[in-house]
Amino acid sequence: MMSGSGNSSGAASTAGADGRHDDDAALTEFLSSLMDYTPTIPDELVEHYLGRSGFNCPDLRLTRLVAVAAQKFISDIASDALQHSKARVAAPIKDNKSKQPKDKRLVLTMEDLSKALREYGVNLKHPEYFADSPLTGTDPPTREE
Amino acid sequence: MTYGGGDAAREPQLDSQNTLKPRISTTTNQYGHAVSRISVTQILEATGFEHSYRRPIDALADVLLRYISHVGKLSVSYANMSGRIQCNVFDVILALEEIASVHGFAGQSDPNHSLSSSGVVLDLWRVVGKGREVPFAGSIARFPVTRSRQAETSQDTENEVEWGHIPDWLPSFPDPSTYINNSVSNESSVPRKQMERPHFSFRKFFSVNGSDGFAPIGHTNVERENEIVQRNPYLVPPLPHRERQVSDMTIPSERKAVSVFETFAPVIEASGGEIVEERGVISNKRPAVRFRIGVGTKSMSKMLSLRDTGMKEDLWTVKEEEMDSKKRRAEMILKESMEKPNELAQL
Repeated sequence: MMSGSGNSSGAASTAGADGRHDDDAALTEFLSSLMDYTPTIPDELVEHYLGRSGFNCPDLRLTRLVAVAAQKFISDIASDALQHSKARVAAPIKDNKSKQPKDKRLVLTMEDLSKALREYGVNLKHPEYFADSPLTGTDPPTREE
Repeated sequence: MTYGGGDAAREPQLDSQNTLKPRISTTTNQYGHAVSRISVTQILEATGFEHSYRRPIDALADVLLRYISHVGKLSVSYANMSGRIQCNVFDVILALEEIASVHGFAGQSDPNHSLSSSGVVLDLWRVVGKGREVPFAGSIARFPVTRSRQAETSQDTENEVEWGHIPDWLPSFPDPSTYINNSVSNESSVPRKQMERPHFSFRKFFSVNGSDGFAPIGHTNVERENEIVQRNPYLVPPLPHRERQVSDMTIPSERKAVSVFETFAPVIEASGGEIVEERGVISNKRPAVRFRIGVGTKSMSKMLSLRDTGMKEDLWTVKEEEMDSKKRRAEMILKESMEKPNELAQL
């Protein structure tokens, strides 16, 4: 029983070793493919900001890896914001008396962006108003007139 | 893609729509922020946005830079935890996994999952595999650009010695003539304009004491320096052993009674032996000073009695009569202090 379990674990370990070898080969292949791919974020920018954090690695493939990861991060946020923007455009108009038709252009606004960023743990709050006059925020009777 | 144009301003300004522009970034970050803004705009265009306001793009550019810094910081911490100072690919993958753990990635629940085939890596591979490359618009040089240090004057380059252990970014050493007192050095090497005469003259200040240790820079030479050294006793080098003969000091033992008669024997002989050994001769010449420590008449009477008896009791030597008056006074004070605590106890 013990030997059997030992054998099985040995087999599993060899299988695991083979699997790890495959994984490492895949990783090596992925890193080499990074050199052929040019990310949108330039290497110099990524290198500078990584260096400021103490990241010390002369390997350019790691810099490309971080650049691709950052590009993917921003594109995920952008696609989420796009979803929010499309949802707002597609929403039925409550006020039918509006003269202008709903703007079907896809414009990135702070509102959509803050909604998208909230899911990623980034709190981006746009100030509601600027208190540039004492009447700001109060209920002005003069406005309705 | 249209972009609410205009360069980022350091100070908040009012634009055409009379809205306050936000303060973008510090001077050092402006270049990086501008480059990241271009990258973010390209990514947004590739995603599908046609237009955007300025502020969301600035916010996203800031988020991008923070993300890169965060990944770097996490990678470094993982490398340091493993006892390394240089990061490797697994440190980066662990950092990416930590950031992605908020959203979740494939294989996150398995604690023994392989890093090489991590869900994060597979996602990135998918991005690369799609092949939709959008390279950066334009090319940028490596930054920050280090300014090459130029020699200020030819004198500096002559005097500068190549030190291997001193980094180049430190300022160069000052002109040696400013801190080395050399008779050969010319005063013209150090321009007079740079040297300001002090308003307060240290020479005048210390001339009273005779120590001329301080002297204005640039006016000293070797001879003057030696003069200064010789005049100032603290700057004189120590004498070698046995150079100067110093008489040995004899310390008399305490037990030995100081005999006034023996001390003044030569004086007495010189005067012809006219000293009369009378009891009160020497004592009456100078009135004794008595310290009145006690309060009231009691102590006074005690003192007077002591004075009378002191002469009779202290006759252990014949010469005690001719004792120094100071010593007698000291003895009286001692005796009084001995008796005083007894008095206090009785009180």
